[in-house]
Amino acid sequence: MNPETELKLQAWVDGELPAAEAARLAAQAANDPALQALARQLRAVKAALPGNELARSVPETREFYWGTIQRALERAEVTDTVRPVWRWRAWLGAYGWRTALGAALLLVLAAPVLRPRHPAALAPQVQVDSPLENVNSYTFRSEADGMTVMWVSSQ
Amino acid sequence: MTRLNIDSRGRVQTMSKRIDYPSASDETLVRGAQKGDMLAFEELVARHRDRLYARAFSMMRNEDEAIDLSQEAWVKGWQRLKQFQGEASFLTWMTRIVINLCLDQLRRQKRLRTDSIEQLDEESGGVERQMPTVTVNPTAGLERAELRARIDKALQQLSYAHRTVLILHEFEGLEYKEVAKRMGCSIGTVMSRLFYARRRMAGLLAGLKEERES
Amino acid sequence: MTRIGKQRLAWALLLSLGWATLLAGTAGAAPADLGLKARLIWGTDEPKPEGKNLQDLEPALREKLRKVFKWKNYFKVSEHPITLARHQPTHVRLSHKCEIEVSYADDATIEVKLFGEGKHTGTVHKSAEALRKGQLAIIAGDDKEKYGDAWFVVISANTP
Repeated sequence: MNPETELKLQAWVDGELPAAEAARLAAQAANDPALQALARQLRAVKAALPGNELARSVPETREFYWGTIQRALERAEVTDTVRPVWRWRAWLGAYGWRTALGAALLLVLAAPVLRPRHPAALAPQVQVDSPLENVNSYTFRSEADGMTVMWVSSQ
Repeated sequence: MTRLNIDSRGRVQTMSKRIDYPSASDETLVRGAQKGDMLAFEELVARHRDRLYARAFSMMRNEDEAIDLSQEAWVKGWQRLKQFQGEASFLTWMTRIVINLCLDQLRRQKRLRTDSIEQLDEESGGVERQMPTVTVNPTAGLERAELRARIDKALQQLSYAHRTVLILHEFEGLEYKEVAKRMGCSIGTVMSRLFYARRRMAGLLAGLKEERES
Repeated sequence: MTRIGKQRLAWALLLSLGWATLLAGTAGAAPADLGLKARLIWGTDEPKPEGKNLQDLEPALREKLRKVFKWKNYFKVSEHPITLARHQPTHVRLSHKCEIEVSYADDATIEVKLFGEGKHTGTVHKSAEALRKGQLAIIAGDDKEKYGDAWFVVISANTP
């Protein structure tokens, strides 16, 4: 039995062979015990696997596992979210120019506190994903290796 | 990109308190999550985290990587939730995401390449091709738990490339062309890897059965 | 001056004072021009091909990459100095298919956008301070033309 026939037989077992070719192979297999044995073996493995994967549980508590996801979501989303320009407009529309002046006063008083003491302390650790839908990307950061890496790959 | 509701202190808020999360269907939770309800999403994570982790583990065979990649898949899932239209189940959709992440990781670490000896084996049929075809069903008469443990042990002994083909084809039910697309190789390569992997599985399962019986 | 007029004058003075304080604050935090370099690097397990204009990577960077990534060899395809000024994104063409835009995302953060064949492919942020201290910002991916190889865009600070 040559490799080509073996792969054809497998495609037949998997239902991936065109009808005409499948009929030819079925006729060939009917008279060939070796082909029949191989088909039986392939079918046995094929039938044994689905639904028989060993079940595994996350070796972490629900809270701990979710906490990591939540922190990652917050890191990734916060910068994209806190730009509610329309809210400021609505707010100004409702309360008028006095509100703006009040806010200015607040800023004057709060300016020394708002100014970063150390710019790097406020440097975001966020990573922005690829905007393309067919591109998968993930970012990792290693302090030990001194690098932030974004890996992009087409799906 | 999906937007969250963020309060003035930058904390994520939930939108609805009316859903009875533990008893809600996946569809209801997905709809809630699509509107930004983080609690609904947390419930989905709690419900399906083991399945996603198990799939990542089956591909990576490493606990830490499986945890990291499954968590990354959940982050991606949230970010792309608007794209989920319900054409497949939510779990299937999430499983595709984790599979893609695992494939990326394996590719990046070059673990999807078959070693040269394996490659030769695959092309020539290797030891498995020289051996007579096992005529007895190697899995017959086994308790389900034992069968699962044995399959897992056999999978462990395959290379990443062969195991991945088996997982995508047998467990995920993908056709040859879909497997080829995801793994970035030709259909011919998928077919020969699958053939080699199956014959090796048959040999391994038979060997394990003999070990048990002797 | 009427009572309303006085009130308006007081508000206007207060507003001016607020702006002045804010401007002084931001001016104080303004970043200085930052010298960077962008390198396009090819990662492979194969030896350096003949006839291609590739340079060996400096050993320190090569070892750094080897420690994190799987590839044995890293060759420099091109290198481009960048002087980054505030409010002025810098565009650098690294190859005929690949271009980056480097800018300050805020006073302390550098933003690197990658464009592959004209499409925005991804963005990475890195603290300017971390870059000054020798850290790297890297955007990388699988080589589409050669299975198993990879490309890296490495951004680092110019060392004096």
